[in-house]
Amino acid sequence: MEVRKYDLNDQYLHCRKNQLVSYLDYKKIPVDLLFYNALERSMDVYDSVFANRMDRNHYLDKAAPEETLNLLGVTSTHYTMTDFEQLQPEIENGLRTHDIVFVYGNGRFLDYKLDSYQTKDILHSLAIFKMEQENEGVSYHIFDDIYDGPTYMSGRDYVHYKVSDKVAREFFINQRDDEGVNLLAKERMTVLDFHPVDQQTALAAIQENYAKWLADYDDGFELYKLIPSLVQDESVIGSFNTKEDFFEAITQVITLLIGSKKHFIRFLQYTNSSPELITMLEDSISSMEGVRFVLNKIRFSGRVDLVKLTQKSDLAFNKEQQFLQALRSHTNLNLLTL
Amino acid sequence: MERVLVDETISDKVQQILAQEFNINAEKDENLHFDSLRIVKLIVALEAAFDADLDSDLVTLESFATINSISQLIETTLNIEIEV
Repeated sequence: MEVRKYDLNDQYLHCRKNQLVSYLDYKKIPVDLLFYNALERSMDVYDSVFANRMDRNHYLDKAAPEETLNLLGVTSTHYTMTDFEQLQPEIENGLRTHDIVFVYGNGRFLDYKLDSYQTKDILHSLAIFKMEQENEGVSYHIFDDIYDGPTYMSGRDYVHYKVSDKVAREFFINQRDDEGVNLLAKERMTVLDFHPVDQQTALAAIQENYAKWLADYDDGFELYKLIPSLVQDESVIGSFNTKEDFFEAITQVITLLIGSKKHFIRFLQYTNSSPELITMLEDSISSMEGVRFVLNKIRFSGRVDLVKLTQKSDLAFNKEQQFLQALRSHTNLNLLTL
Repeated sequence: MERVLVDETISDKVQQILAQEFNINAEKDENLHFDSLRIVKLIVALEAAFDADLDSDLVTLESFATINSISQLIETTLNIEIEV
């Protein structure tokens, strides 16, 4: 099964959503339409991920929600068992009637996942497309991100792995019930079903959703005025466990915003939006990458170049404002002609 | 600051930094497979070594694909600074 990774740089979709959207893309579902409202408000992301220290995966669980999937004729069925002996026959049954089953577990036990194996608890999703009986027991064929070094490298497509029954069992049963790791994993196993939908009805519904979303959408982009002061504010930096945690959090905010814009671009491209509008959003993304670049240079060099950071932040602020103004003036989007 | 460097010298210096600070022993044209964070770390090391400012619009994954490409970027940046 050659599923291509949709969010190649893991900037907007968490592991499960990325697997799910990538699979739907492989099934020729017009997944770009799922991102009609992907443009995140900058201060929402800042408040959640930076100020309130919310796990980015939890914040991003709202992307591509079930109700939008339903509009495209896709429904999810979730299984909540916690016993592996119950799970295994369900995987087998699931694979008889579906191409793929998605199972949540703890990445600490996945021997190929070199960034977390035996070192940290991390909620992770397995996309299983084949189960095989071998001499040494059952094995599961999956696709997942590539982990070929001590650091996970984004920007590369999925690869196939084979997971033994022992590893799958440990992955599944060792989810913690306390803080964090299994909060998203109440739905232990998920399968997707497809139903015929009237294309014009679906497009009309998405168009209506988009119009409502755009009417409500606003962003003052205060984040870009805030960033230069954050790197000088010892009380803010000191509120994190380490300086590295501070930089990790603030660059995560920027990365997530970049990812949200890259997904919104895919919606604009799919719906044949004005090339001018798309170019403006691309410029906005580049300017944000400039902010992140300077922040990371400060992070790794320890030298605060405030002039450059302010220049880059002001540029991003202006580009964001220009794009939003242009988006509001482009009200002629007509999905029904697609 | 002495800025008259030939490409070979820059490549050697980049290779030396990669080996010492990143534990990477690569041929000059070998693809390095850097992720974006490692690129920034390398840029910080290169900026210190060459007393140069490698700005964001010059820096892409492609520019940092091989030691030779990094060396060319540094050389270009240093030449720009000399012209200024």
